[in-house]
Amino acid sequence: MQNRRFKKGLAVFWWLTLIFLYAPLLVVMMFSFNSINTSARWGGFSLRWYERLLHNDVVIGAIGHTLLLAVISSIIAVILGAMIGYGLYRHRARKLGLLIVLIYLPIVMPDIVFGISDMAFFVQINRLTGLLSPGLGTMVIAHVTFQIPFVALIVYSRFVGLDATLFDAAKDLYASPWQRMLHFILPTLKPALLSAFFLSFTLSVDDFVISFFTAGPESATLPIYIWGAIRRGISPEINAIATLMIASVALVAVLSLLFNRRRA
Amino acid sequence: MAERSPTAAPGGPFSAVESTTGSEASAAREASSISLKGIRKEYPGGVVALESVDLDIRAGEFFTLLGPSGCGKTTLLRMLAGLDEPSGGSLSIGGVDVTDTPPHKRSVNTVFQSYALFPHLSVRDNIAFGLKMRGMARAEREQKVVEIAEFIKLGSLVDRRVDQLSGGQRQRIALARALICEPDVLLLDEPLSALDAGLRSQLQVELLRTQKRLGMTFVFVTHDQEEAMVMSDRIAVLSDGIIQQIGTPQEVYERPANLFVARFMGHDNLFSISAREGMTVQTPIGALETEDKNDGRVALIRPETLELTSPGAPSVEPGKRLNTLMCRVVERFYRGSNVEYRLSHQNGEQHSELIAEISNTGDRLFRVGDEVKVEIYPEDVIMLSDDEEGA
Repeated sequence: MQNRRFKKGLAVFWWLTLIFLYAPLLVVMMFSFNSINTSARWGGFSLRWYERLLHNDVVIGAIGHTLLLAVISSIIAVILGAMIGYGLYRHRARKLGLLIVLIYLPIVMPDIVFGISDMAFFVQINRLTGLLSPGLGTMVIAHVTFQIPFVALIVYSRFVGLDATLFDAAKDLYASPWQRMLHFILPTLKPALLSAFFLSFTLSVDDFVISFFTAGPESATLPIYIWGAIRRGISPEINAIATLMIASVALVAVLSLLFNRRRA
Repeated sequence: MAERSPTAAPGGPFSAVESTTGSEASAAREASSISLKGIRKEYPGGVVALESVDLDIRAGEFFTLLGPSGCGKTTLLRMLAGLDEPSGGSLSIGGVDVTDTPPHKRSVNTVFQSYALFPHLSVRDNIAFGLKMRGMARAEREQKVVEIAEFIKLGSLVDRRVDQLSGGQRQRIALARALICEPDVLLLDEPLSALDAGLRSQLQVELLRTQKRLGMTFVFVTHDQEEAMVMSDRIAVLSDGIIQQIGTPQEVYERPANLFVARFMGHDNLFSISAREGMTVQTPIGALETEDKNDGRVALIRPETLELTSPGAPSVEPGKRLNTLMCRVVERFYRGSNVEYRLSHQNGEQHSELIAEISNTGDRLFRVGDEVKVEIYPEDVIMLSDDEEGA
């Protein structure tokens, strides 16, 4: 009896959690299809806000920046992070305590600290050398720095889950160092690398704080645009942008999950 | 490829493979000998895994490195493969010095304990991996996979995924993957230890037959002395990074070089020697006549050499002076083909236990509590040097 009641309570808890997680998103998504210019009342289904987005050059530009930033930073982060992950694995016998902490630190560091530090750092460099003026370049560097730890940990855990004698087997079966990379390490890592790429991608698209501090006048991403637009009040147009972001991030997250699961 | 019958292999299709590639590469393969001189392995921190090992393995031999875990046998094997570098000494295979040759340039292949099949590849691609790395064309590779699959009777296993294979099947795929490269030497790192007993003895026979058919030099690592005796032409018994004895299974079992080897080969009737006078040694079970001229600290009497009769019975060989002692049966283990008796012996204050293994000829068995007369031939009392601490 008590057990059943407990289970019922758990179920209620579960549904409450889901509601609090997803109801706000659903509201935003719903009102993005509202035909009238308010979030207070439902005036019928319409795609007019999406249509308006298509004709808003600033929004289109922001989408472009967001995707470009996400793709470039994710590619760089996957390459560098995979190298760190491999290095961590190769030298796992040594005491790597501090190094591990250094890799975890960016994950737990508040974004605002990161963003402000990045900004201050880039400004100093810019002042001294004239390089790294705020823009897509600085944003890519900033994004790569917070994506790398995730990639490194995904790759590292993939290696740890692997039979270490596979490396010996590859050597034993006449694979030169390059062949081992090409025919053993990369194919074995492929699911982890794809998964890490998609995770980095979503992290980049989601990021507002760090982007905000490192962006230049010409490189606003969608979250920055939304933040600017929202000061003039929430418009159904913002709802439409949010809906598009939710959809794309959800898609990429699902892809990431699928690739990670299919680590044959 | 699947239409080929997996059992049609009496002529040795794998040997046919050799003749087809032999025309391009070398002629019919000669088995290779291995020579180790002063091979040492010391890890940073001063841990010595191998202490100046000298070892000659003959061409075409089934050679076993036997010892407990941590004795250095796997380190030695990994050095033959090139996966570990010796700290000193030299190593040659087939007369060529390979001490500094990296593993991917050695014509040596290994069957690993965990089998180490690549999870991202199919069984077929796993088997062909070595050939692919050597740059063999796809068509030729596939032909060779078909041939090795027949040779090891893999049947339809090649069409499965690695994660669909059982332990025994993985072991055979790992063997195929190594053999297909036609190495000078095949190394086997406890390849059967993860399998259950029945399958294990079946694969022992298969492995042995494969080796004899190919005439290839096999170096086998195991901690199981029975497995070593069944399989090997010769055995090297290792302990603490030192080779204790090299010999045929018979030599190692019947004439262990020292107490460690005797213990490791499963001998229990070991009696410390307190004094020696001519050919008579004093032991806890009394004075024993021996024919062993070597000086030793411990006497070994193999359990199957003990002769058991009833107390009043005549000697098993009346013309000969045998060691005779009276014992009592403490336990009896009936094993079908033989019977093991645990015997207790009282020599004044000294109490000792003996183990006798008597082949079951259908005669009456002794019962627990029976008094028995134990006779031991002097030539079966073997002197062992006591070079192990705490013996």
